[in-house]
Amino acid sequence: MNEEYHDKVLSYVSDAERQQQLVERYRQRQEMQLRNVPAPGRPEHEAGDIRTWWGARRESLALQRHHGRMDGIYYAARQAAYIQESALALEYYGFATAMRTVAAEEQELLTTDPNSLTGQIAEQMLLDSAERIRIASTDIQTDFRRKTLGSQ
Amino acid sequence: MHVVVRWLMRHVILLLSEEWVNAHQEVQTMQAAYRIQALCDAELRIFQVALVDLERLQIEATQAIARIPAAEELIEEMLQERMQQLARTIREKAKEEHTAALKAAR
Repeated sequence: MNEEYHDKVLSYVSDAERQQQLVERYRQRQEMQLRNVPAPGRPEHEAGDIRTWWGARRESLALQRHHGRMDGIYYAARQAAYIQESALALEYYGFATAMRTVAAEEQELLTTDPNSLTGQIAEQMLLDSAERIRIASTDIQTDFRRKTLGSQ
Repeated sequence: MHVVVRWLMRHVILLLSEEWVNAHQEVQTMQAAYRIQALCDAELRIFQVALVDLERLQIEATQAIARIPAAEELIEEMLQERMQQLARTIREKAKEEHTAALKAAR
C-alpha cells in the first residue's frame, strides 16, 4: 500500500487500535439503545362527561375539543418521528454508500504502481471523486431535508 | 349512533392521511437514496474506465520510449499532458452531470 496515500486519505480505517475503539463505541451505543424510554402510546380518551336521558354517556363539546387536540398532537409527534427517522436513515445510507464507493476506488488504485504517473494521476482522480461524492451527498441530503422538513 | 360514526370517520381519516403522508415520505427517501446510489455508481464506473485508459496511455508511452529512446522526454511530457487532460475532462463532465441531476431532482 502507498503509505503516503494511506496517511493522507484513509488514516482512520487501518489503525487497529482505532478500529477497536470504534467497535467498542458501537457496542456501547447498542447497549444504551436498549435502555431507551419507549415512545408514548396513543393518548387515552376520557369517558364522556355528559349523561344522556337514557343513561348513556357522551362527550361535551369541550371534551371533544380536548380529545381532538390530544389526537392532533399525537399524530404530529408520530409524523415528526417518522420524518426524523427517515432523514437519519438516509444520512446513514448516504454515508455508507459513499464509503463503499471510495473503498472500491481505493482498491482499484492499489492495483497501480504508486510511483508511476498513472498512480499519481489516479490518486488525484480518487481525491477529486471523493470530493464530488461528498458534495453530491450533501446536496441530495439538503434537498431532501428542504422537501421533507422544510429547512433551508 | 352518530357519535360512533363520527368517531370512526375521524379515526379512519386520520389513519388514511397519516398513511398517505408516510407513503409520500417513503417515496422521497427512496428517491434521495437512489440518487446517492446512482451518483456513487457513476463515480466508480468512471474511475474504473479512466484507470484503464491511464494504464493504456502509460503502456503506449513505455513502448514508444523503448522504440525511440531519444524522444523519452518529449513522450513523458506528452503523456503527462494527456493524462491531466483526461482527469480534467472527467472532472468537468462529472460536474455537468451533477448539476443536471440536481436540477432534475428539483
